[in-house]
Amino acid sequence: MIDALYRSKNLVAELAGALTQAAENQPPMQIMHVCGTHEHEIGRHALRQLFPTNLRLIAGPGCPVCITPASAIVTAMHLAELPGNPILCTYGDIVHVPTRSGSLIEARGRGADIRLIYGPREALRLALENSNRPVIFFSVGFETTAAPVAGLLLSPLPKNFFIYTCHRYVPAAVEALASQDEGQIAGYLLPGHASVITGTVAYEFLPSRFGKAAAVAGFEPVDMLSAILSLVRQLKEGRPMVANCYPRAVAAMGNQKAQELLNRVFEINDAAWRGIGVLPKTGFALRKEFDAHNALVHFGLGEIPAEDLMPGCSCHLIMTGRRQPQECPLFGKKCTPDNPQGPCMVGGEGTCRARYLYPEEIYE
Amino acid sequence: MCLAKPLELLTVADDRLSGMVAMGDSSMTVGLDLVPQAKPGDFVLVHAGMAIEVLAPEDAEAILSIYREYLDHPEQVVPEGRPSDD
Repeated sequence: MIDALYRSKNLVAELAGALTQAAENQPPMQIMHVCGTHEHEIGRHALRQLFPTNLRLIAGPGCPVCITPASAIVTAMHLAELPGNPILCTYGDIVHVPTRSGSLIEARGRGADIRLIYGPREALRLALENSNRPVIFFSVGFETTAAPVAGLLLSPLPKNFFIYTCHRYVPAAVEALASQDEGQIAGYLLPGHASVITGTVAYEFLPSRFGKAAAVAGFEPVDMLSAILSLVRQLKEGRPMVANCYPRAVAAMGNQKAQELLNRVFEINDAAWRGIGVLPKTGFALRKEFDAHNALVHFGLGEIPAEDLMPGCSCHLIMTGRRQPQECPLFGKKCTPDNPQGPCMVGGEGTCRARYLYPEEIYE
Repeated sequence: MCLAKPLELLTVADDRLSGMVAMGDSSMTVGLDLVPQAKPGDFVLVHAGMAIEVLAPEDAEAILSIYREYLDHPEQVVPEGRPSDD
């Protein structure tokens, strides 16, 4: 067995010891992460077992599939079922997300041609291979996914390629959370790969305006524990900052080429997050110059309104850290990964799914 | 969706918008729109088929060694970033 650097048992033990020491005699601290992959990796490595008892890490709205509004999914279903034999392509997780009008996978069961793709370039390939049919790319995700889409839209596109985008911007959402916070969250564990695009500079408002601790973390145990240790030390010393604990991928200013592409293709607007509501300046809206490939414009459609909340579901509370999955009456009973009742039980980044798969921690 | 992995860039297309990366025994085309500075031999962080950043080789190697740890016989794995001999 290789003792890989970022998963080294010795380093993990040292970090856990330092964490316990740093948290000693401190008041209870609650920190929030805003990345679904963090939740899964923390669960998978059982890292919460290493935390001191006065430290609590809760999950925020970090799962892009979970925060995609039901209206976007219903609109995508409608696009897939338009006359003219269109192909709708999208990412694997989103097709299973339930709405009160069903899911994309159910639409496929009714005969809609819905294809799963790994990345934006595959959508383009589908369009080139099916030049006699409209190919609609339903693209969701945070800036990590939006930036490659921006690159794609600036390259030559066939006439039958259309896109329906539902991208969201993480820093503005964290800002909205921090501004609504009444002292419950002392610090934020920031997403590693979204920060590759934005840089740490995008989160400077956390210490400067809100006095919150912040640390960007990668996805291995050593990455995540170092960032959590940084947060606890910042809180202990009363010196909040944005620590970059993932420097091998994240630069202070981020990927500036990616930011330039994002600015050329999208404009920022106020946008809805599923079950949370409209958060200011968190949406990436396609600029008018791209109307020729904007699916809604081409097909003359508006977004179809839909109810976000599923009957009995607590996802909207879980995504904002106000409830833990185990506190939802459906969790693990009516709602399981095989039969998800809400978005958080569906994807590889949903908090409920992570807690169902790695149930090592019981919140009292 | 936030997963990204380091892969070695083998070739860069003439338009510099895409390139070929090695994945163990196979290879894959990835977009290079976001990393115009990437050149063959670099390790790029690939997310959803697009390279989003260039990594230092030693950092990439440390991450890749973790993937190899998943396998029972890491010594038998074709190292990522090397084209297979076939």
